[in-house]
Amino acid sequence: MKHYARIILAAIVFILVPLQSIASASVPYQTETLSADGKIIETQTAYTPLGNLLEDADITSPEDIFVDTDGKIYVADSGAKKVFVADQNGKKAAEIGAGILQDPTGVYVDKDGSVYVADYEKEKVFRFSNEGKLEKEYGKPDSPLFGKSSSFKPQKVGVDRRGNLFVISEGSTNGIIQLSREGTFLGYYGVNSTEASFKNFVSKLLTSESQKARMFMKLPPAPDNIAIDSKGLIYSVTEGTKNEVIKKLNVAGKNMLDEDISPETSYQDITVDHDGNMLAVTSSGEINEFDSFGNLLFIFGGKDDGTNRLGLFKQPTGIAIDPNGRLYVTDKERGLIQVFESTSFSNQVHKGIALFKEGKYIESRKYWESVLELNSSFGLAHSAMGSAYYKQQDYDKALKEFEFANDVYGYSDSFWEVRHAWMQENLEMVLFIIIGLIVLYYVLKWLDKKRNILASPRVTWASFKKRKLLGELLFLFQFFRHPIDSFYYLKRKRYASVTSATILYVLLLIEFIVSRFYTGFIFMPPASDGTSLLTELLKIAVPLFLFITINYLVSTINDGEGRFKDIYIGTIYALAPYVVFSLPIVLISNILTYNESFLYVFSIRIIYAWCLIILFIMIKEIHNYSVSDTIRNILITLFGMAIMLLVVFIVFVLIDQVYDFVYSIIKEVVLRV
Amino acid sequence: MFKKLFIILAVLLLPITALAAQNDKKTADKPPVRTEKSQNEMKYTTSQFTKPETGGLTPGQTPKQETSFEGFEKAAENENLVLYVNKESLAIKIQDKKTKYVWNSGLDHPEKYRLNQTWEQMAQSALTVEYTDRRGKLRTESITSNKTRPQVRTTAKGFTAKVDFNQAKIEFQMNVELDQDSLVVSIPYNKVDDGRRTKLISLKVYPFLGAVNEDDINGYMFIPDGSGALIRYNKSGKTADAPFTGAIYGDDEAFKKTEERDEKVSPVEPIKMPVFGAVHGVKQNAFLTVVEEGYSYSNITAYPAGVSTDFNWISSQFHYRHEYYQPTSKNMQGINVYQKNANPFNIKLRYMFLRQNDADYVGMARAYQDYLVKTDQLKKQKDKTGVRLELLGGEVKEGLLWDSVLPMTPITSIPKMTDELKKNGVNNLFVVYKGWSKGGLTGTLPARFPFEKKLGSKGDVQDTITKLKKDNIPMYFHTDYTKAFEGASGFSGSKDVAKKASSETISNTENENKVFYLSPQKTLDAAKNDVADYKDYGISNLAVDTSGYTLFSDFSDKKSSQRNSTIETYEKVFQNFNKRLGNVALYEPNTYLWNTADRYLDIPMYSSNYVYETDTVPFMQIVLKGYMPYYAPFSNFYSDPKDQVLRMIEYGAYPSFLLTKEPSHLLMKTPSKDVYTSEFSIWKDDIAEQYKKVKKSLGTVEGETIESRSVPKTGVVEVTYSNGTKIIVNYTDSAYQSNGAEVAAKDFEVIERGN
Repeated sequence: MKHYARIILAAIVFILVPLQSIASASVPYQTETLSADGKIIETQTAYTPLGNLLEDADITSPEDIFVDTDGKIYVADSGAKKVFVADQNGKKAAEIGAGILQDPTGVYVDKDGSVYVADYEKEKVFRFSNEGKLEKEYGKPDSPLFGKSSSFKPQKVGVDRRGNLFVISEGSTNGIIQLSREGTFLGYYGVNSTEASFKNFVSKLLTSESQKARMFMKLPPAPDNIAIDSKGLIYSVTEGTKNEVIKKLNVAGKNMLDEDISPETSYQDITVDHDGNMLAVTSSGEINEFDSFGNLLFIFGGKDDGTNRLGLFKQPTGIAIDPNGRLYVTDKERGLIQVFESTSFSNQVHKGIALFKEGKYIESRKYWESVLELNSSFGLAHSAMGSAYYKQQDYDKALKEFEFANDVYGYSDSFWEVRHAWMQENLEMVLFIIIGLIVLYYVLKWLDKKRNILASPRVTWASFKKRKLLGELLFLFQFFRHPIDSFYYLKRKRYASVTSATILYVLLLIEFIVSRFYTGFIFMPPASDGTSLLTELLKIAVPLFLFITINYLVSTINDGEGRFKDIYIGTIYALAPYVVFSLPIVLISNILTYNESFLYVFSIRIIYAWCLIILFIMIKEIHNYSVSDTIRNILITLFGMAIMLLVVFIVFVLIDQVYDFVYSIIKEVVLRV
Repeated sequence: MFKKLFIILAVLLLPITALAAQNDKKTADKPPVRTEKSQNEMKYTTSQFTKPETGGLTPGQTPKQETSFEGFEKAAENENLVLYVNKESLAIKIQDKKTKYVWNSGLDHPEKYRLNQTWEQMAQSALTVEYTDRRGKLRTESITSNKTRPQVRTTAKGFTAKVDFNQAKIEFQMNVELDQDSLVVSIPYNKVDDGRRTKLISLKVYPFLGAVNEDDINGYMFIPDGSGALIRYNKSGKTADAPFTGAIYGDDEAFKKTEERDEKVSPVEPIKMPVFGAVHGVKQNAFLTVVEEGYSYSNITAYPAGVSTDFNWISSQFHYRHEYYQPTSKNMQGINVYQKNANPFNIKLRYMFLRQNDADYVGMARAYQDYLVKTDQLKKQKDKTGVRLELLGGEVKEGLLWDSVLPMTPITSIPKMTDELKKNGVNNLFVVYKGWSKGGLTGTLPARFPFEKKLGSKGDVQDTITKLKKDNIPMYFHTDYTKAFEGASGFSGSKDVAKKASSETISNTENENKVFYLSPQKTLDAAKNDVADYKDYGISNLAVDTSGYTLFSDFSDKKSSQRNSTIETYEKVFQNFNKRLGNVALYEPNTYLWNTADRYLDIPMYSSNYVYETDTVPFMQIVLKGYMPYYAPFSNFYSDPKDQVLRMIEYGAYPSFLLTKEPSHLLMKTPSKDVYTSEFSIWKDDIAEQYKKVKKSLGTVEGETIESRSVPKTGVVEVTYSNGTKIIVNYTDSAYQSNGAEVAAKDFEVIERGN
């Protein structure tokens, strides 16, 4: 029902009447962060817009912005064809490059105060002294390594501590161009990788080497912007790709961040603050802040809805942060440079992160505690609190925090400690009980031998087993030792009935649900709120249903002997290993840590493999097939299942179309008549 | 006495601070503090704060003017004002007899400015009309465009003019009269004559009255954006590419196109008061315009210099026909059309002229306050410094098999919380209880009863109300008389839901729930029927959400209701509660409901952040202070709590908290996931602290009105109340000294009269 409602919801586009946000604040955008379970949630404002920088200067199309270590601000303006310089207080101090620059799109200032400007039109990088005197021009490198046909269209520029230039050139698919201070070509740096998509994979499989050579080679996307932090690490952003949109490159040009750092595909520029936190702005005006490990901290800002409000952008191009933590974002279309300031809430987060990064978990605790008071679902804060508790050997609390933060590794480590402590305390008891039980067993056995005391329970058990249904159910265990014989009995001697099979199916479904919801946290993170019991049930019931029906249909035209009833009963008995062992494994999974995960993974795989083998035997025996027949039958069954799904899908789409059509007609009649 | 205490305290505290400072030195591995003072204060120069007044003449002096009355005739005169009229364009000049200042509806020397012909015609004419011609094309005509000859007849207090637009063939009658300190312009609907083939769309009245070229005069325009905002006169900038426009009481949902909105960008603050104004020389001359009639169909438009022209001008525009989108197929393709019939409304604008000490936004607010009191739109309510506790009872939670209610705050736990707060010194509280209907907060309206079992029984409700009453804590029950959730009981989806002009239902999605607007008639019926149920539970106070700030037309076939009649119906709804039940607190109510509410909840504390805005001012707060107590939005979600508390003290607003007994992370998987911090045990100390601060400051001015407000220095604000008490708030990081009083950094000081 819920699903149906969703479909209707998707079909009809509703008006979204402006909602009154719960936190009616002074900023025109929501600030969001990641919750413990990886969802985007609202949080307190992290940065507030202060106003515009250099309002009086003639800024027309700001392309890039840079703040040097003293807090002086440099803006490359392609409309005014020069670089504007503002002092620490945002007052205009100088202009650089008027008359020389044609289309300045990137600006960088090194530690000595030399100003580097990338000029797209002139195809050069210019170096000015801090007073604005032209010192050097860097044109297209003439080194053969650079490639004669490669173009040199500098858009952005960066300079590392050794004085080497890193130039982003349009369409430079080889990566960032690295030049020495003298202008010699040093090589390409930080090349992007092509996206590994399914389509590429298939086409690679299907084409021969010669075909591949003739085909258009897919090129990696060229990086679009660059930033260099105080340690000299290089950061790049790439537009129009899905993986590695933000890269933090080490000396060797290797990316140190997760390649799926963000689903965003339109980052325009990136800047790094003195703690290593990264701030990147997208073409839609959203600013994302990440910590130095690439964990998302905040999302804020947004697209101008035509209301001319501060904090929103039309076409953001550059972003920079000054030593005081003030943020500058250029908007090319509106010709504005907006200034943001961090709030005391985000300052708490930043302080916590700065300490956490250096491993000072305990010192960082007080900041995280106050962050959690302000936002009880702040994901990163829970992880950090977990680490702090762990360090303080308060493992129970650490366990809770890690579980809340969905941090599997942290959870596993804390659990190991908790389990260890428990064992230390209770090991004697456990051993004592085990030994006691063993002794008891042998004593009973001995007594039984001597005096035959267990005779009457044995009789009751035997008579109990004789009841038909129970016998049928217990027949399940025969499949472990004699699968082939068992299927013979099943088919010829009717050792199992539809009733017993149905009971087992129900058991299977229950076990599946139990394993879905009660498997240990380490091996199966808790189901998110999107999962409902029904969808979980469908996940197993639909394949089973399809398999049984399709297999029956396929087999009847393929000389299979099995009747529908046989397949129905046979399938569930073939799944005996799962029915019997899944519960114990679920239990065990709750007391294992990551170190022993192979136990869990291995046993699960054995169960699946075992089930498949018995299933194979089942088809062979029930239908009385040869091995090759069986394989063919299985393949056709799988194909049939796929076709069946397709048919259902098509029918559904058609019905939807008909509904749409009728709806439109009625609507039109109502409106016009 | 106090001084001695202070000295003793200081002596006692000194060693501690010294010790603390030493401790600080030991932990010197912190990143160095690089903040400079001048930079820190940048925050308080933004448009979210008020700037100190600079430049210009000394207060009371009149700016030099070169006015000629050439072409103008004297039409009327009273003890304060003289009215002159130009009989060709109906342009007017109003002279203030005390200051001799002349207000001009047009320009004396238009050739001196950069203005094209269309703009000039509009500036010089009294009326500018927008209409569609016989081909349906939108056209504009001013009186001077095509030599329209108005027929002017002088009356006792002013003049009456008949204007028959030459091209548009649309006729109006305009009455302009002096009334004490004000000028009243009215255009009755029964004298509006639509053309035969042309259709009247909109009308501008005296758009350039008080227009200022760039920064020729020191002053500003006032717009009722959020709490109130100023646009100071500046040189033509290029930061804005569009003027300020806002529909009074918000856009009418009935004419809005059904489309997706970027949810991350919050909407602009809707206009809640039908006023605007302009200041020519701070503390010299100013006017405030009240849209007395026709506000339901009016926009306020303010053009800062640099948008289209070099002029700063502010005016209102009246829409006789709205444009709307008529979808003709299910994939929402369609056409834009205008309303077939004109909206019937009279226009009445009252320009109140203010001078000298009253000529600023404070004077405007006080003038408006007087006006509201005189016209019975604002009543004196009991004002006592207190805290609003809004408690979230239950919220719906999606379950594996069925939805259940997550009990966050059972009703019986409320007295425990209030007792604890009382022990900590919070003496005056009031409680709003939300999410009490069966099924929780989201998805249950319009069905309000029965009470959710998991939160308590009927007896528990009655007990809690009596218990709190004994402690003098009024308990308000949160509800909403506009929204109806899809699938909820208590309304019929076909009969009781309001419809747009395009005959779609008015609806939106809130946290994946579809929400309809109930037709005003249904709202009234429900309000009448619910009284018995409320009485049964012993409920006497209500806190009503949405209905206070939502104004829409309903185009359903049988129960259709224009915006004007929606106002009347809503007034009846709340009068009904006032009469038969008790007090009603409203969330962000528009002016027309102010006399039915006893508390104003979630008062806007900011403006919308438009680039051309230069200052935010507590205009609405000055209007309300002393008459209706108002409460700030929840303190839970502030990112700079220190500054926010100071702002509340400065604005005279009382703090609010959204609380639950259970930890807020439980709400993560419910529609209330935006409540990310609310646990009582976390917030109780902050409640006590904020209460103490507010009590210390605003406790001294209960029931008093704001006399004046000034900004002596960036980040420092002085507010003087009618009992002479002055509250000085210092946002900056350094102490502020004034007349012997010292205000510590990030602190406030109360100076009572005589000190």
